[in-house]
Amino acid sequence: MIELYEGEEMILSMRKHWFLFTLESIGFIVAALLPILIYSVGLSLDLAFLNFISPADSLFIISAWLLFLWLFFSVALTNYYLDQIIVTNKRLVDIDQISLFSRDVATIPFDKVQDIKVQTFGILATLLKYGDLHIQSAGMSKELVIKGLKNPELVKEKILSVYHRDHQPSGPIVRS
Amino acid sequence: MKETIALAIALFLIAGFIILWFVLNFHWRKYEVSAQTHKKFRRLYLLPSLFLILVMIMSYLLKS
Repeated sequence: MIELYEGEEMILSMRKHWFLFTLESIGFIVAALLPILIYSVGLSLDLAFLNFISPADSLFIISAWLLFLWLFFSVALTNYYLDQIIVTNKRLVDIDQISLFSRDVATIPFDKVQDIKVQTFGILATLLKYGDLHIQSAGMSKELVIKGLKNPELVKEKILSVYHRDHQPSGPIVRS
Repeated sequence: MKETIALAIALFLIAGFIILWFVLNFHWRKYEVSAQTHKKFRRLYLLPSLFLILVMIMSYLLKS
């Protein structure tokens, strides 16, 4: 995952919400059912090409198609699994696994964090507790946006609790 | 002709499966997926793929 510095502890590791991956997987499921759909439509319309396809042919086509989809699904699953955020007691690391050989790792030390915002859009996002986390830090012209994060409120709370613990005044303030 | 195309498709997919096996393993190891998860991923990738390859080969042999 990441290399921790001396005295650094991992507090939290979070991925995108499983629901978003399920939505992505629906495309694979529909594609997997496509041969059955084509076959049944072909039968109902009495298409001529079905007469030229033997059972062994159709078995070959279906297994080749499913294998093709399965290989792509494995890549999608790996990308989903390796895409995560890690909160330690010193920094936040956002690992964005875009594709197999494309990876974007952003690190924000907590003393540079200026603002954290959580955005939740829609009924499903509210019920399933996922949303976007926006982090504005000093030295970054654009804010860091982590989309579709599972339980973004919890991540925000953890970051703020670590930030406030490290930035508390050492003694009581005496006013005269 | 039909058999040559089928053989080409089968070989292409099997080659893809083997290459992806190495690529995915490299990723799981490099980005430190735990040993247990690594094992689960390997099984999840391998078992359905091998089954489908077997069905594909059997149906190809039945055809020819």
